[in-house]
Amino acid sequence: MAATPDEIMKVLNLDQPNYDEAAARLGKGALPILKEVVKTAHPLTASKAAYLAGKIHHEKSVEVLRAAKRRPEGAVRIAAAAAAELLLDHAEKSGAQKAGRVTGARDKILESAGRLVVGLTTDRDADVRRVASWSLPADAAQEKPRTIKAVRKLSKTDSSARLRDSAKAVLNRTKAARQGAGGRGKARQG
Amino acid sequence: MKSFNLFLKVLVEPVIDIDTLIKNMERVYGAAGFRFELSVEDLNLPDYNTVRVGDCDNGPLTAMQEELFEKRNGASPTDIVVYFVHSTSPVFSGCALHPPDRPGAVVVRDASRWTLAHEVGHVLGLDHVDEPDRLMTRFTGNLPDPPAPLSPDEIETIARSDFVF
Repeated sequence: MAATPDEIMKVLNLDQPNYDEAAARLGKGALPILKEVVKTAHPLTASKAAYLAGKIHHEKSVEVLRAAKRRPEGAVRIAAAAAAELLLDHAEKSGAQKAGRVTGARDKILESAGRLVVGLTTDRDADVRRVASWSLPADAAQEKPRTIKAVRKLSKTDSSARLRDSAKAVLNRTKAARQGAGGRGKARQG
Repeated sequence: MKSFNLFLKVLVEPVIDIDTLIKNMERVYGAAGFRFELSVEDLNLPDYNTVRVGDCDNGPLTAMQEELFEKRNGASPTDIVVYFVHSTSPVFSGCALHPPDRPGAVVVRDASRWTLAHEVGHVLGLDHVDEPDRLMTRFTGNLPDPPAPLSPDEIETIARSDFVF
């Protein structure tokens, strides 16, 4: 049975939702309601809705995050970036991507969430760009040149000196992880 | 009257102004017989405007939490330091998980008018309650103004806190 708006709002009104439990219980049926919440709710509630969509790990989760990306409040776009990281992490852990081909739901998530994150690295709000940079995978140079290009651009041209430094750190970690793992790895910040 | 020291470190200005948050703290804790010495400082630490906080339950603390809670700027190990940040990841209203020797919490920009008092309550040893009109409810956004008074058990817990003198 699909989740009801009341069930979903009970989760989102919590100061500290248990996202794993809520995602497992509410499932993909919650995504259309979460999308509406993201569009219209108070920024903190909308942010929680976006994050929960990321925890649901479904290709349609990205539609919720795209709605979050369009909100004027930076906090909601930060949540979109953090949720995209969840989607990317989960999709990557679920198996190796076949380079150059979209082979199923997982690869669609990798493609669409990756595209979303790269878009957020050019956001007008430095805090959004910073969280988007967390999502950039270390193996980007091999399989997602678009992603590594975005981090490199951040490291060279971002208006925030701290964010330029953070992006450089991501690039350095990427390089070190790739060398340490014999060509593949994962860079994370935080 | 027992008291505790509260340092507010403002990385990002909250939507509900700090004076209101402090007045609400005074109303809740003052009615229970506690006062607090306050220090407010702006901190320019944009790398911590969004803080990874893990599940904010029993830990472990994230590297970002460990780093942020080191930035106490003169607060002693028994002073409570609350950092106002833009967001947390996961998205929470606040989080009171802290290193044992660096009591504190983070509160996000869009948090409710009672979140500061609620998170300080956790630092002082209070647990969540199921009654929706009490400060330690899990839904501080829906609290009445003012919330129900702290219970005798809660007052006793706070009085026993290592951070109250």
